Amino acid sequence: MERVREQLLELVKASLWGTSPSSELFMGDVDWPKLLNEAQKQALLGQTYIQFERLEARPPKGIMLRLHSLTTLNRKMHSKQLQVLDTITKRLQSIGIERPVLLKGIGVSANYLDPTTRQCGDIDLYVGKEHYDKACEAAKSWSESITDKHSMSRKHYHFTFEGIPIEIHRIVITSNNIMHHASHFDTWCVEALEGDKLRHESIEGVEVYLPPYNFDAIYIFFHAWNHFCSYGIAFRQICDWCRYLESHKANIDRTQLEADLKYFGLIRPWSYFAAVAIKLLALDPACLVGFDESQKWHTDKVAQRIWSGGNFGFYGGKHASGKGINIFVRKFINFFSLFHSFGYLHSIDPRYSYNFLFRTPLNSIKFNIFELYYKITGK
Amino acid sequence: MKIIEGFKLRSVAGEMIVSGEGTNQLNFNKLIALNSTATFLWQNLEGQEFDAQKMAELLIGEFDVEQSQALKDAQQLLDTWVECGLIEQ
Repeated sequence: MERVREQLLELVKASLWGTSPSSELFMGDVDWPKLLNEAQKQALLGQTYIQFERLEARPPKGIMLRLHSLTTLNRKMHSKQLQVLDTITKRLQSIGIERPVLLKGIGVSANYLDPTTRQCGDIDLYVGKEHYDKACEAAKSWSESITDKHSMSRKHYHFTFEGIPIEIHRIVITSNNIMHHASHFDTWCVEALEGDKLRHESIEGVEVYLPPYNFDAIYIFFHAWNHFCSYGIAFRQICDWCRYLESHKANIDRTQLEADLKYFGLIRPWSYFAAVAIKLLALDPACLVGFDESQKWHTDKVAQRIWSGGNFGFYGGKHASGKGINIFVRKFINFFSLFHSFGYLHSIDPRYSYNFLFRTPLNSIKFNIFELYYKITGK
Repeated sequence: MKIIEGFKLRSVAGEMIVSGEGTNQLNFNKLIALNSTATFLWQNLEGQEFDAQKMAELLIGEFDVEQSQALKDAQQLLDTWVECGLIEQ
């Protein structure tokens, strides 16, 4: 592994587990710009920066002040997100949606030793099919605070509130037919997020509802795995999963988790990430279930895709979700990207890769039919 | 008077820096460096009501300084902090 990547992982591990980074790795010349470039690509700038103060060798003062400014900006956004989350949750509750469920994002930040250093994303709130229309109508009426154009789909309603991107979810995550029992997965998600099963917690004074422990263990993983297969992910996404598993290891029903992973055919994908988490991020193996260390999990190849793709694959050059791209160009890039992803997956798990290659277009067609049906019927 | 909530003092590359990290400081983009005396005062005043007199008492208790000089220095620093927007009245 490149020295600069070893150095980055050393700093990230120290931030994840509260250990001291080894100064030995930073003896001699350190390519600070390259290290920071990798940290940015992996969406781990905050976790990296806070460890610099603990090293004998650190970047020049100018770089440190710039990093401090960026981390401060992230901390401000974290505070702002909490404020907006509180406002939106209370507004949804005022129209009878008692338990909007906070997915990923700031709910995952809370598992970090310093939550304010995790790079902020958007706020995802699940309300389910029953409350979706009501929630969207209400959100549209908050026009004094909505600061850009909004969009509605079968899966979620997207808008920006006081500068913070929000997604109100009708569906928590779209299943794919690569997994086993895909149709049951949708029902499993809905049932898991029924009112009395949710966790009611306070995040820095903001009252929120979070998914049950076992659901989140699979959901945080599956969300990352889907992105890993299509465009790529950053180590940030693996860090989120690691921190979650470590923080809630006592609360997760391990027998049930293993049974669910096997039932949905996710135990092998789970194991690929598990191997990376243990080998490169020093996750305690006791936090995991269903992982057979004696098998070969191609850690180097999985890690290579993470290093090259960066945050949600945006650095891999195969991302075609940008606005303003001609639809035919976008389709072509997506088609090319499918083969590119297939190549990666084939080197890791040939059987899974063929499923991915043939079933992804079918998934896409199914998704578009459902989307069209939703637009016509509203169901 | 009080230090506005959200301002944090952190060590950055050997300097003590105040920056705004809360929602009150969304438009506050300055980094303010404190010397060792100002750092001592900040650390002892954070979260408390205070005025120039209290700052002067802290200085007298810690450093070898006369009351009139301590009060003059405290008032000068307080004026700077107010001017920078770090203090609420």
